Amino acid sequence: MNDQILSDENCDTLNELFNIGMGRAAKSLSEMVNEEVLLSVPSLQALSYQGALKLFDGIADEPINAVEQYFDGQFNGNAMLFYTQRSSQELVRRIIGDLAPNENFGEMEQEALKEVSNIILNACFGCLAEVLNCELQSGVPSIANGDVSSIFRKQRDNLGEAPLVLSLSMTFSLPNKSIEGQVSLIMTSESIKKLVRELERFSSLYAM
Amino acid sequence: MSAAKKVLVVDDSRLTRMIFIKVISTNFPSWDIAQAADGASALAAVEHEKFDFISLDHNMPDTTGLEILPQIQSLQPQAHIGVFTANVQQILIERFEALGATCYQKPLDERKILQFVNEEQLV
Repeated sequence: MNDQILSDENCDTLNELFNIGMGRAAKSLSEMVNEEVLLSVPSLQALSYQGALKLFDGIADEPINAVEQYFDGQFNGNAMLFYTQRSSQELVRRIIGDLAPNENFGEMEQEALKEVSNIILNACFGCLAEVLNCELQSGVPSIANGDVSSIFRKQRDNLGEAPLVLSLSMTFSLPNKSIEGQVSLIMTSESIKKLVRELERFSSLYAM
Repeated sequence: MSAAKKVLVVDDSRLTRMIFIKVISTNFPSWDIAQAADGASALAAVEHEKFDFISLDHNMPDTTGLEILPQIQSLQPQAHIGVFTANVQQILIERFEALGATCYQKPLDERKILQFVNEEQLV
């Protein structure tokens, strides 16, 4: 489902840019955990706010941890990296190992999750900016917990209009331990138009 | 002036195939370029035609570049194969290099594609 927000060509371009970003993030992650990180093939969907709510309600019926990071430049929005609580706990345990206290998600775990998510999201921003030859700054990451609907509702309140959502589904896993993360860019329609202009300018360089 | 060559671009990303084709056709207008969007199409292509250069992606919907590289090599021993991938973890690069393929980090650009092509031309 694409809701005609992005053409198939622009979706393909953006998908590949995210794929490159996630590849870079996987390299950093594998160096942190000293193991290979397996990546699935990414799938990008451009959705209305309502469509995104339906999609996320279907795949995450348990509480989630989301790391949110603002980005700004030629286009802007909020990037979110969603994990199920189980995935985020597993990921953090692999990164901080024995330093993790035996309690529920405490301050140290939250900091570790923010840091690793910062690396992943910035790899995505960095790739978009580098390939599209534009400048994107990112804000400080923060954590939101709860169910997907409430986290999305907050985004809607912040943006002041029904936002559009670019949702990248990509699983990264460590041997024997599946850790799933989902990256979403939440943007206003005006900002999506600016992104589309950049994608079309870039694609035109390679049009035959 | 180099003799006309045949190139196969294997990548599920239309963007990557487009960049590769643009760079090759601009720099080597007489070369033939074929493309495959997944592993199955790539294997079908290498069974029926000989290629001088093959660019191979790693993460694809139906397989990985690492899985099909040995089959491609056995069917196309003459081909110079480069792996163009976003997944640049050291362990993966080492596995490809152990099979004799060179890895190039995405995003693609003209310099990387020409380096891949010229590497073989200079041998």
